[in-house]
Amino acid sequence: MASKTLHRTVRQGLLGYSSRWKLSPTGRLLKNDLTNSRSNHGQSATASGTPYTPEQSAILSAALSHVPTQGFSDSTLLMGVKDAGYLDVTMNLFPQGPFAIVNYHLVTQRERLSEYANSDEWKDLQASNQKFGTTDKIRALCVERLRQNKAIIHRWPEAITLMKYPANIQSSTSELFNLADTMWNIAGDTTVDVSWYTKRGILSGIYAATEIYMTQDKSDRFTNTWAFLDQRLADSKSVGSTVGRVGQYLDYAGHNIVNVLRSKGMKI
Amino acid sequence: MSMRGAGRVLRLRPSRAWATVYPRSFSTAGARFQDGKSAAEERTTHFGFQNITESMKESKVREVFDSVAKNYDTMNDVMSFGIHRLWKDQFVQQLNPGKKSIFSEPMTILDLAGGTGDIAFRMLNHARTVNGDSETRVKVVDINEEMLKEGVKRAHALGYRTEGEDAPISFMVQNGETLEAIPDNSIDLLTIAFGIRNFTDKEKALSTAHRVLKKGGVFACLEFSKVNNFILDQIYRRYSFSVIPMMGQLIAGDRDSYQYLFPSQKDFAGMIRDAGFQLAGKGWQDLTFGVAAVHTGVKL
Ligand SMILES: C[S@@+](CC[C@H](N)C(=O)[O-])C[C@H]1O[C@@H](n2cnc3c(N)ncnc32)[C@H](O)[C@@H]1O
Repeated sequence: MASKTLHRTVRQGLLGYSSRWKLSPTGRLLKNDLTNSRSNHGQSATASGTPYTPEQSAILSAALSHVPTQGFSDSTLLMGVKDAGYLDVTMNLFPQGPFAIVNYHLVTQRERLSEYANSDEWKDLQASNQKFGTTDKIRALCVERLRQNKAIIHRWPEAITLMKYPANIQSSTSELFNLADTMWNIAGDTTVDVSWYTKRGILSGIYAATEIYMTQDKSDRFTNTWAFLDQRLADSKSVGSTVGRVGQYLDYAGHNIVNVLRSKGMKI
Repeated sequence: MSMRGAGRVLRLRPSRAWATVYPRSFSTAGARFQDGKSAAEERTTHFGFQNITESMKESKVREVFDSVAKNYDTMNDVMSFGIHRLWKDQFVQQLNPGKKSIFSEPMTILDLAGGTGDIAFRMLNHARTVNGDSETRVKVVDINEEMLKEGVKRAHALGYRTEGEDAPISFMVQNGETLEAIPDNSIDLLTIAFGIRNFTDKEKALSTAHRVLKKGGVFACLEFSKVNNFILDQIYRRYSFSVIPMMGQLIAGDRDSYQYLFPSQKDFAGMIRDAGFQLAGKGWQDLTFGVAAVHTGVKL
């Protein structure tokens, strides 16, 4: 059946990442992931909804505050541990080492975006803008999220390197997908069907590409980054209506990101 | 737990009359939940394939390790095809003992069920060579004096002092379940390698570990575990339930000490959490497909 092949292509094509979806390809599961993204963190889930215990948050947020000057390294993590009042040996709480700081930033900023969706700022933005469509919302959310990288953007290439380690790639990818899901959810598009995968794939592709672009953007207040984002969104036409155009989008998400970035002079 | 005290009766019986051969029974949990009845239903625990009373186990363990102390290292080599050395290396490397900066204090490490000091010497060596820290100290604690004596010999052969307050390594006979001589909140890192399976009351050992660790201190346990690969599991089961005890018999002249059962990685991680630790990541890391595993918990 056409939709089945489509389904598979979508799964396999997205960012060259397939194995994860072979196990749990049902929309229901994904929906659960979306509404309860902390489920894979089991033990540490707390009432406040974050996957981090207060002690872990104290350490990792302290570490994050040293990232602008120290980067994402073991010694940054050690500083976080010491600032929070613990011992050298406490480093063993984080078997993934400095990737724990990267992941903390990813998770907490995604959570922050959900809070932003309840803010007056977001409501005003929608109210003051008659034709604030899905693509506009997605753009606004990408910008809002990318702004949170400003303070550490010069160190972000180190984070990307850590995210690509074999041991970390699964966490990084699923966190990127969580972000895309969160954005679609806020933008009001929560249909779970074949296009769900497609939309998640396209958006995570666009977001990731823009984030990489931003690390090398020297323009004033990142104007070039926002222009780059607009171009990617325009390329994918109206990102809200994707069913039936899967091939085209996949091609975009899967293969063209690298080329697009290269054509912009990115070293990847 | 209420029945614990009442259930502990030390009785001397003729050597083995008390040992029921009862394959793969995890009796500790069962005994705990049926509330105390008569002395006949006294709390039992698993000791390999044998079900014995808890009170007997302690002396049994001591007896068993007395009998293997001298052959212990050979035995370990044979049991794990020598891999236990690599596991121990990795265990210590990952824990990365020793102070990390000039602003840090040297560590106090307690190696529980430390036997002849295999882990302790690696710790000292790592702290010195990798972290340039010659102040970090290790206390080796074991219930069995014979094992510790071998350890002292090795320490002296390696040129380490074992006496005095500031000795880099010291040896002490203690029951790991209580650690009576170790003050609360005094240890940075507590390790136990291939020892927890011998403990009569693992929960008690874990809560004692929690007691002696400082805030921020780490509990780390290296132990044989459940293989997570089906084919390997089949092979390993045969090996661990028949070959290992048999070799124990041949080489160390003792079969009983090499029949062990251990909870799954996940269950043991749950026990560590229940003792008050926060797990590092999911709580454990498999070595060699789960033939062994390292569990890590942190007191925060
Ligand atoms: C298999 S040996 C491991 C020795 C050492 N950790 C190693 O890896 O080479 C197990 C040790 O646990 C000790 N042991 C068993 N029960 C104990 C207890 N309740 N308290 C302290 N040590 C115990 C035994 O005496 C024995 O030395």
